[in-house]
Amino acid sequence: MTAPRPLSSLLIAGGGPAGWGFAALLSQRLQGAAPEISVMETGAPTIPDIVSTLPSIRTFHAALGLADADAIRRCSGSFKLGERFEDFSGAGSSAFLPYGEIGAGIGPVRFHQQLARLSDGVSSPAYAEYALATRAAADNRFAPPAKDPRSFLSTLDYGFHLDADAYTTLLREIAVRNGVKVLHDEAGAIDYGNDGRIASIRLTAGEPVAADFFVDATPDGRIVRKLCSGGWRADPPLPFDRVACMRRPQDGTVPPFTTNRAMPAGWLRQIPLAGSLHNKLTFASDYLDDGQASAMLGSDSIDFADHACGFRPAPWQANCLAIGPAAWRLDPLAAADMHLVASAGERFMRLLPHAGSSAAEASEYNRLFCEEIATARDFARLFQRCQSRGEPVWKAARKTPVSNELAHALALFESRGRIARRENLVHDETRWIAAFLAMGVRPRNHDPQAGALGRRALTERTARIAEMARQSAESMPGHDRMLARIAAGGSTP
Amino acid sequence: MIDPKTLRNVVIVGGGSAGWMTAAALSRLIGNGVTTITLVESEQIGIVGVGEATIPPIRHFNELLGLDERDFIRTTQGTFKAAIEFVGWTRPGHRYMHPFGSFGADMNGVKFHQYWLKFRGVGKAAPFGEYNICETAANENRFGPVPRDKQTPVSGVHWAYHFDAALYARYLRGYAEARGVTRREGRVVNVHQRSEDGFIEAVEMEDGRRIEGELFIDCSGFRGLLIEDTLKTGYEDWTHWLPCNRAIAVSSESAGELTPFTRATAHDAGWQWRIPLQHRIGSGFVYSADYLSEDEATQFLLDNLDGRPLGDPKPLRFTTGRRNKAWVKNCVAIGLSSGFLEPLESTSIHIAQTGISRLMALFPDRDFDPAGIEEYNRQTELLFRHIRDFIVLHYHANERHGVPLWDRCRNMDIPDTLRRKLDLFRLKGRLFRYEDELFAEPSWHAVLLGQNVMPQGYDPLVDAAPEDRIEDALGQMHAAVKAAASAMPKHGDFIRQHCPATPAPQPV
Repeated sequence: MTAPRPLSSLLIAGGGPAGWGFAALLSQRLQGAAPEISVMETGAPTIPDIVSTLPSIRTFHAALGLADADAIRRCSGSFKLGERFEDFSGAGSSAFLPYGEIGAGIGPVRFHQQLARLSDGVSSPAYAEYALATRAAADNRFAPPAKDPRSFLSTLDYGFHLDADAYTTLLREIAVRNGVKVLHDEAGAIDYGNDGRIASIRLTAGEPVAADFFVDATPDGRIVRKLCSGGWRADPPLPFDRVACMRRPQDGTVPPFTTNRAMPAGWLRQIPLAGSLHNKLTFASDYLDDGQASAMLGSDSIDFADHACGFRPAPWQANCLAIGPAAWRLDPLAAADMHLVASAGERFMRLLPHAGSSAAEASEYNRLFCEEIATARDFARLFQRCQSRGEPVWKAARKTPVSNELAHALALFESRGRIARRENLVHDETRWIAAFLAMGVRPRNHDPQAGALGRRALTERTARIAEMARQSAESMPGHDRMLARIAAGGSTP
Repeated sequence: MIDPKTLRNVVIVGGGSAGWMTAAALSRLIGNGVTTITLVESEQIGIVGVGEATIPPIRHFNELLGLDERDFIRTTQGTFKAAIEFVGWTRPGHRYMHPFGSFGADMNGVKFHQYWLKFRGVGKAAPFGEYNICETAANENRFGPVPRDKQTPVSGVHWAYHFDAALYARYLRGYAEARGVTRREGRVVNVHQRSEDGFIEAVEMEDGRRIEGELFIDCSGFRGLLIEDTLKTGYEDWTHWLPCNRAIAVSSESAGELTPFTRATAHDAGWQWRIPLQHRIGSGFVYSADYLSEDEATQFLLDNLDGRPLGDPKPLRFTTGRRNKAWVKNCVAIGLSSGFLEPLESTSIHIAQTGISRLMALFPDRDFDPAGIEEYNRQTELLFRHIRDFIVLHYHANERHGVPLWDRCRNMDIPDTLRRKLDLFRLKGRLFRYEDELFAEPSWHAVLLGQNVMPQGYDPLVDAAPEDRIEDALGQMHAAVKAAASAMPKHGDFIRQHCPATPAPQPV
């Protein structure tokens, strides 16, 4: 047996934010030991899309050396302090899911338990109101978090809203600058080696492109699908099986958050960009046809697509790794696509194989991937499971089966507001708590450890935190002003 | 106002370290004004007081109670522990250390041991342990703080303790009783269950007294008086992976310099522990009855002590494994009643400790919500499986060829979770630890490399860094560790100066 040979070439099929994000991250981090990386840009995605990210995008951008101001300027972007949910707990209801810290724990007693301890008989603000992000979002304000951990302004965290096409172009530039090669063509037939691994992929004209390793970032998984084993695991289908997207120019204030509004037959997700508002209606085709959806959105230039969620439990097959839509399709409420791309890149580099067999690496990757994707899926499902609207379609959504893990997490939270331990969380425990509470899930009782805290001191302490959140938010500049400053060539402070 | 669902009476069955640790930690609950805590124990049931070795999280437990470290050491004949020495596990005549703390420092987002693998291959790196401060100091019997001028990022000292478990239990008893825990002396002869749902409602004592409770904590030891005898929970037997099922324990007189580490010495039919306390040395021989009789084992132990034995050797029997559920109805098993893993990595106290903190985090009310119980059992099961895998590794990765016990362990099917770890490590030294896993990557590295599981290659990213810079960095780390370790005091001197046992050890 000869010594294993390092990977000398890696071919990524499919551009888009997934393919280019992966290429940019690898080319940036593997400098010096890098395999030669090429991207085969296949056709454009079927519908224009948008990127609405989690705060973890900041780590990804830091790894790429991409400044916030550049991302915002280049992608008509805006900052994202969280997501607002309207009408999910019946008409007129509204709740905010903030990023960053919420309140402060006392030893083992989490902040929401302190509030629950105080709640009987006293009306105190909702959990999310103790987060700086919530207060800032309500006033359309934004400033990056302070670096001094003693400052309340350091408790903030944020993601972005970015135009997907522009973002892809930006990631592509970074990758190309790092030496990634571009092939403009469609992936055609696959040539296999005698070991079941891919030897090369043919271009339209039939010319083979060989590589040691392949990444399938195509919209339909056309390469990994042919390697076949493992297949696709579809989530139990929700009634919402179709999406309609349109973007409308819009002047005026750009809110620093995504809004989700529940409607009788679906829900509308609105993502603000500089100068436009991206609308994505996810709806049940049994209750609303495309024509009615167009009428609701008030436009006839709408792109429709079918919507179903699921993932590939074994995205690493032989010498091919599937990422992006080839490996997962998540409910938009998870907002986790770029998180998962970055996480796929980091995990792949931790397991970077040699040119030969990589069965052990693949098996570990696939195990970790399944855990991680399931937490993102369950987080999005939480909203469908816990909303309390009365229409038949929403009732059906509530009854759609959920994973055992989500059922257990919900039962545990309902009893005393406790959070089930789970590995590889995409959304941290604070966000799970905030999401349960935003959907109106009220624990039957608080943690007994909170019962040991003195009531008066606790009341004063929580009031002080609320006041700090309010004052700190008021000290922040307007989001519009921040965007204008960036547009004029400035950077974030 | 007090929540009407608050538990009124909590009953702990069994003293010993698990029982009194539980009582001490739960005593905080008494502050709510309605909860009472009663601990039932019998002086007739002895504790195996040959010394207990621990791992660093014990310090969090003591801190949570507000114990003063030096007072605790003085009271329990305690000593400090910075490592475990494994003698003869890889093969006879071989030794390695599993120290606390980390090895070297990661560079460019790549783990330290990956660079070490490359440079060791070309003879440009020192032995792995010389990049760990605890191991380097322990090899010279040094323990104590690193002088300020020798402190560097690679010289952080981590430690745990050796102590007399019976004295620790007595110490915590004082703590708990001072905070309102009631102790009842006597043997439990009967357990009463509610007819409608089988919940335990009372334990009956020899003299006919009934002690009623809403929550019962079974700290009765391996037997599982409530969780097994009464509730018939069942037990998952892991003997096929960990074949030892007997132990002989005895104390002996101290001899030689005080070591700041536990020693585990492998023999043909099992292994011997050595736990240095201030006044004596606790020893024991863990073996498999398939390969050795009790008489042979006893003789073997007596022949391999540091000094004269103190008292008669005590035989113990056990079955390695875990209780199917640690929490059933209104009964929570904490300590040995929840399962048994041999003390090879000093995890017994830790298993009790995490049981207690998990119970606090999921403390029930009179509804005994099934979701909380399920979460408790799930987390407990994971803890046991993680520790099991780590211990199985010690037995499996051996080169003691031609010895039945060791041949069997080398050739056995190991748990899938461990198999996957080993497969990955053998390729390029990679390790993916579970987030909640007790033993962190440095511990796995120490034991894997110590037992000669050498990866075939290293992470390809290592080659991206300029060799001369890495070689310099390795040299600097090595020098910093060495300088810091040799500036630390001798362990015996440190103890004599700061925390000699009270009463002072009697001269023999």
